[in-house]
Amino acid sequence: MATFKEGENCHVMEYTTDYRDLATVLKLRGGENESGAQIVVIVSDEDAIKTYGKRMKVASEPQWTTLVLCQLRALQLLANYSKPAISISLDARAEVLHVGDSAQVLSSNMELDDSFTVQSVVYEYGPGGRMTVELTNRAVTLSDILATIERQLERR
Amino acid sequence: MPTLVRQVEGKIYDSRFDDLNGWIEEEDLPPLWAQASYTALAGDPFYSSPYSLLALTKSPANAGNVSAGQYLRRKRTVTVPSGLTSVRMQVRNRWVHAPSTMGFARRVRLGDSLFLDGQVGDEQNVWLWKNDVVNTSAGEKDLRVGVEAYTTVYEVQDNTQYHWFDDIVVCRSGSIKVTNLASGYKAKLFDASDALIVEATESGGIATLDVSNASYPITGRFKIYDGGNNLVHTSELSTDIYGGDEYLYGESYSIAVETDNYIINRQGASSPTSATITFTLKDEDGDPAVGKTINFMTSHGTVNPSSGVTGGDGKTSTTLTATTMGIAVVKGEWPGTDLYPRIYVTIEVSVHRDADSPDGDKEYDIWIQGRKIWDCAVIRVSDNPAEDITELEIPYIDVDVKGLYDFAIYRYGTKLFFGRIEVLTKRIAPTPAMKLEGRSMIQALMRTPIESAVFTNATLKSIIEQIHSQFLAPFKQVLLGTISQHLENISVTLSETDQTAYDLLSKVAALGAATVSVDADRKMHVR
Repeated sequence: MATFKEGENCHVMEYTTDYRDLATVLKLRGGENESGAQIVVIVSDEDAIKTYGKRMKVASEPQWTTLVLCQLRALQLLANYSKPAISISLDARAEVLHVGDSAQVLSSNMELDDSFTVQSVVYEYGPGGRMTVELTNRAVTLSDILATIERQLERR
Repeated sequence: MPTLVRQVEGKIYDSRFDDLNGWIEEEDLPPLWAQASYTALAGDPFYSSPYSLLALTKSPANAGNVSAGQYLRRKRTVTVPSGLTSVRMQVRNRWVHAPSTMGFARRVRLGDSLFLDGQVGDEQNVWLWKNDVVNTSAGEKDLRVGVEAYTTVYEVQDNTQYHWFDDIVVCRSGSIKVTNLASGYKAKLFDASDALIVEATESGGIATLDVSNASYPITGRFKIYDGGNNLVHTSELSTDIYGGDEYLYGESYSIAVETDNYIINRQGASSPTSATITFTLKDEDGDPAVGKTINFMTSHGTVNPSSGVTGGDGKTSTTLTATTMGIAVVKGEWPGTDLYPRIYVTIEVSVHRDADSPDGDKEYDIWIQGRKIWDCAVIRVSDNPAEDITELEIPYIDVDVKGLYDFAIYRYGTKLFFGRIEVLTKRIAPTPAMKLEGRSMIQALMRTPIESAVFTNATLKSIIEQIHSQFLAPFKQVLLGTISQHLENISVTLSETDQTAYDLLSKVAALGAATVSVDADRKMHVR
């Protein structure tokens, strides 16, 4: 796992905490099971509730037609929503990184010592090669990757 | 919300023989046989990991013969609950001889009743399953597991016979009851993969599920269907379902919370410096639950008392105070009983440093959580019908500014905006700076869930008032402002599920061509 230490091989350009999607209780409405009954799953994160209170989010994903899959999906969604979304932009010394990789970030200025997922990397080749890395604490989904590709295409 | 609560536990005794705690060895084999034979945990084979119980019988030289009835086994006591004349028992068992067969039978007894009598005709080196009813009576009974000679066992030097036991269960019966079901209701039991195990329709309010052929414990979940085959309840996945379990289907207790203040100031600052938080506990019939203890906790500051007993109205209160600014999430929890599950509720109180004291001479004045911000580079307020978003840029990093804090903007002493910080960006290069973004308190409406609401032939104005009083007023984040009079002239019938307060209010407002907004004084207007 790559490690970025502020002042040694990177500078933290931006550190954003986003509370807009925060949810500590998630209700997922799935599809219909074999009996034709709609699957509904409610999951909660007790630790997050202690900090942020009960905040419910209702989601609907009819592709889940078994209770187990619906429950697993609900837990996956809740794991994403039960903490504020953090995004970090780093100006770093170039090294090989891929979207989805984990990276450790240490910054005394931002009181940071945590691992994040690489959301995008932009390399600048040349003497003393550099890169701009965007990191997140959220799982990188296919839609994130598509959004990144779209941004890249727009820049051309 | 209805729940399924286990009222009677079907399990009487269950062991996977992963330890032998409580099991004592008893044997009456001839002395030399006794020295060479033993019972112990075995790591291989087992039916359920990591061990099984092994009873090994071995014939040493000059040991003599074993007479019919002599035994080698483990024993422990189990208590059969009152009222039972029979129980259901299950055990996995296996055997092999080396080199020749001995006249030992695998036997399991409960008191005087013989449950398992596995003799040499059974297939060797495979796990066999015995599952049957055993007649018994209430009280303490000896449960014995091991081998007994069913005939004379002749001495054959070094002849050995292995007997293994695993997953022994004693439970009340081979059926599960779900009680308190309305006419036509069905109870279904599904496994972890959502495959149906068994189902039954109620008779006299009780659905009896036949699980006599299932291996206990069952891992699964119950689903309750109404007479129209609509799913009305799904239980959590459970790994300890046994024959003889009895579940009550019905309403559980409910707990509600309200505060007298959403915003308080830290101790020593101007009033109010405390919030009285009141919790109301109701029983399954919706009546006040009296004499129940509610435990109070907070994520910031202190609550005093830390627990309270509900009075005749089902209410009990605690007082929140704090010496520093922050967000307090106060939790009230009723621990539940064997019959009713634990329930809890939370409420947010915002603790400010002090009351805002805006400067009437300043064109713009920023206060975050009751603390003045002395320098602000950019203030951008966008006001539109859906939501008011404000952005601030502060030309330094203020470590005391945190996400979800309240912030207010004043212009010449008049409050222009009040909201909460929802996005907080810190930038180091080229110069340290902070950017804050937040919405007005309309965001509180957007995160208030309404599971279901029914309004029959009610005016739009009364529906809006009911939504506010029922779902928003207890939290004091959004106060009731103006509702346009013309909304009193339109009556509708509405039934909604899984909405936010904002979505429902917007829907009702739209029926009267009105919109919902929340002003800087946290007042909600529909006009």
